[in-house]
Amino acid sequence: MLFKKMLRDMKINRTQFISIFIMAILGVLVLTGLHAEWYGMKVESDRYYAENRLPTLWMMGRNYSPEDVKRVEGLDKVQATSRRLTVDVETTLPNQPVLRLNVVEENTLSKPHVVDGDAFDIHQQGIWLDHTFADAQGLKVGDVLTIKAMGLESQQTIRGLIMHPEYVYNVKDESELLPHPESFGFAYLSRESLPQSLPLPFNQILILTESEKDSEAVKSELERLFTGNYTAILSREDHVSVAMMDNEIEQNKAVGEVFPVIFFLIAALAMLTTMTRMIASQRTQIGVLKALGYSKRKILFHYVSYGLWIGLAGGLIGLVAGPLIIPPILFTMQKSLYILPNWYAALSPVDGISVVLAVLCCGASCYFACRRELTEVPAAALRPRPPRAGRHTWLEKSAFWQRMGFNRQWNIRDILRSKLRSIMAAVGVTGSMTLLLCAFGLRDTVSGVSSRMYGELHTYESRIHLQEDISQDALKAIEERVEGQWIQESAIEIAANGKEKTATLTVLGEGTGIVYKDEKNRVVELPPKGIGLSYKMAQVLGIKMGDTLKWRIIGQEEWITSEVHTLYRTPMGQGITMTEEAYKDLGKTLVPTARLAYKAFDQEDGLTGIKNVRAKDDLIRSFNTMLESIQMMIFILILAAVILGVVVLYNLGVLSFTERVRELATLKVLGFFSREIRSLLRKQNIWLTCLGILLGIPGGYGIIDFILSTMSESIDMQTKVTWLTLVLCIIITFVLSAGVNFMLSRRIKTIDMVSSLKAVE
Amino acid sequence: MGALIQFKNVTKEYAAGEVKIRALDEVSFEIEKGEFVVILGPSGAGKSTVLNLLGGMDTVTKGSIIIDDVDITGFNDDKLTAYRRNDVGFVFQFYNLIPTLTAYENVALIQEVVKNPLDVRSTLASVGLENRMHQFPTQLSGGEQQRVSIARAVCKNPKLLLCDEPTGALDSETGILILSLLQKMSREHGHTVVIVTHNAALAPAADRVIKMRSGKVSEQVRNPAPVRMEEVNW
Repeated sequence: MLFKKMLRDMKINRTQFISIFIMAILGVLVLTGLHAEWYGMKVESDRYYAENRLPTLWMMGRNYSPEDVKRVEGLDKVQATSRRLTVDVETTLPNQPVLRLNVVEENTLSKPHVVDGDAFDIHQQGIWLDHTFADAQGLKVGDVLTIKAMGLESQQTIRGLIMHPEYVYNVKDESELLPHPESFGFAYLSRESLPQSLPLPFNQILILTESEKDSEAVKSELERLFTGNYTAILSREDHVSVAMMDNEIEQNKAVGEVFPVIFFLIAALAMLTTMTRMIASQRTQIGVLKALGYSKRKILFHYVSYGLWIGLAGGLIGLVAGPLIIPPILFTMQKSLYILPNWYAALSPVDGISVVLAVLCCGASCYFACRRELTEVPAAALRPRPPRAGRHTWLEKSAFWQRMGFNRQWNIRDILRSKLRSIMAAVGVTGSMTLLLCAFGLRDTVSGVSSRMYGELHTYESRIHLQEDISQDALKAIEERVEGQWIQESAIEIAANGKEKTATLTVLGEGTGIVYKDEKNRVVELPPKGIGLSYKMAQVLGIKMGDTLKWRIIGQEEWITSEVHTLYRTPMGQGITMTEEAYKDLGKTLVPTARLAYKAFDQEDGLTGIKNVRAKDDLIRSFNTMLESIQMMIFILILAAVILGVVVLYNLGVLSFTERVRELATLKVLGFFSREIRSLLRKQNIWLTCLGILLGIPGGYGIIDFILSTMSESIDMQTKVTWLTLVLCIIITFVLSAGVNFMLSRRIKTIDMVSSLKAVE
Repeated sequence: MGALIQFKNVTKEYAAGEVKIRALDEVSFEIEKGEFVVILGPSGAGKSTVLNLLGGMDTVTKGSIIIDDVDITGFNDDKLTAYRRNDVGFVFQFYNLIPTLTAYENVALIQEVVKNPLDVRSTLASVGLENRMHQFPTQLSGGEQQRVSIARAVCKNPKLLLCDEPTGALDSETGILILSLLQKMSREHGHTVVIVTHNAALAPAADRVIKMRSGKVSEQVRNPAPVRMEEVNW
């Protein structure tokens, strides 16, 4: 019987129940959807790494012997090792792409994942080719590829197309922002395909430690053991592809974790008040049930089940729909950058908890509201709760009060009397303002990054990357023909305060290609002595201006101690920057890796030693592509914020309206025109909306700051909200709030004076 | 010039789902200016419907209501609101004061809507609340709240003062006080007062008694010598 009552109650109060339902769905949907996206990528990449036995350490050097391998295997915590020859080779393909060729001694570590053709087998003749590269070059299984390796040209049949855990983010090196399968790819060649007489200079030892945590310890052992016999030892976090994937996951996690939690909290808050008031309006019925002899427990259970069912149904739908809807949208972006065998949304226990929370929110609010009503004796519960007393406020003591007129007096008292309702109305507005500002502000911030990076700071027109073995003559020729600035960029390790980070060293020759600015956006000069440190890196390491730190170029042994003379802020490329002069002061010479050209540069005849040229537009485009997945996510968030805003505001509006029907009816009977009552309500609404917006502005900024601070260490974004965005957010919030108010106040016309005044309730 | 109020063959039907309920069936009566009228009848007789129609809170199905020579049956929403605003004062069983306003402010509220209201202070004094003006409704007793509500109604100096079971929520002693107050308003200030009640004991105090039963006027009595409310035998 009571179940029937519940269903009918839900039907009668369907607006409230539907809105609670929607809020439960939305809250859980956004949370699980965004969560499932990055978590799915994480689960899949972890699985991929584990299944294909991605090493935890790579030791690069020259010609490692079987004895070297034995020495590595002798180390504690080392699980498996394998020698590999990795070398960039040329092909006879047009556009002269670079092919990174791998020859392995045995296929035990870092195994390729075959997507087409035969399984990879070191005993079979042939080559297994990067499938994105094959696509871009128009190659398929069975085709013959001519490669020029180690001084000899050989023809190899393509046996299969592959993916590889080391090439999830398929770039040649750190200087490439985006994968370019038309100019770079990788391949696996079996030992059999090469003449047996050819000695293979294995230049890498792949090492899998028992767990990833052990890699640091093993790394320092290796550094000791192989002193002078390696150029670099990379752990997973130093590996470009692994680091990029981790970065992406971290970024998604940062946005996907903070935002939905706030989203969820607002939904929960709204559910809480709605439920509380729903139950409060059932006061008389609770009294009746009690008078009929229902036990307290039974009544409690009955009302709690209202919340439980709604919360459970909404939560479960959200739980199913979130991962189905949101990740596929985001994956379309990710797929263009990252190569994983599978893309799927993955649920974690956290998602289950969000459903439980939604259910608890609804259930608990019902429980407490119902218990409050239950504490009364039936006789009292049968009568309506006495109206709360008005109170004189300090405001009234001022002479000002009397001059305010009825409208303002009424509104001020009304706001103060029903504090909870007013607070909730303002909080609803604050919430949607915060969400909107946060979403739109993130958009501004993210798109501001490329304009800051390539508009304000990097003022050159194109970047000419040089080959590593460029001759002095070629350098001279470029210097004469191309107006610009030399730059050396190297991967370094920085150690300070017990922390060690990989970073970028930038050494700049004379010129004006890059401008440096401090955190207050003032232009700073790089010092002639000592180093400049990027702001984000300084934060990560806990370093101030004037402190010293140690650093070394990866592959070199010598640690250099330098004093930080300048702090500068840059969105990308965290690390150390210094002038050529300061670099010379350390007894080193600038070895250019690129020339920053002040004018647009077209490949000219007669210049040699150029690896590639990136025009600024390309750089900006690449940069923006990288940020696309975040942009998409933000779009989803904006959409969700607007929907939630409407639902929350409408819901709160309906509740406060129904609570006041009697008063409004009285005003109507007294002869107030509908439009006068509407203006009365509108004024209150405007006050509360303004208050909510005022509170929402710092809220939005705060959350953006927080999200940015949890983002990866390599990107330093500055919260930037344009005036236009701020105004837009305020307008949207106002329109939402006023729109809801408008819809509700139309009901004033339909208030039935007779019945609302007669009814005891 | 006819009587102040003319109720002519008024029929009121409510649609309750499929069936129509006839709340008033060809009701006719007249009320003269300054009269103290009691509409009597058991619940469901249609007396409240009469009051709602008189007060412009509801519209008729058939017939006409003429107040001060103006037919209000054809009024639209705005005109009805204006009519309520300027010509009618209401007193309800459950007072219906605005809880956020003090007694004084509840009455002063009228100043917002009426052009020439009576003085708020003296009106409140006339209902005996000069010392409790700045209390909020919840701080007042039921009788006091009802007096505020009367003051609010009287303050606009209405043509008509309509009271729906004004003593329904009060004990008999307080009820008598309230009714005497209403009678006094009628006698001393010339207000036309219409009270709806099921308490037949009030009849002797009225100038005119309209008895209703099942949506019809069953009896109309002119009382040439009404007694004072205090002398009514409850």
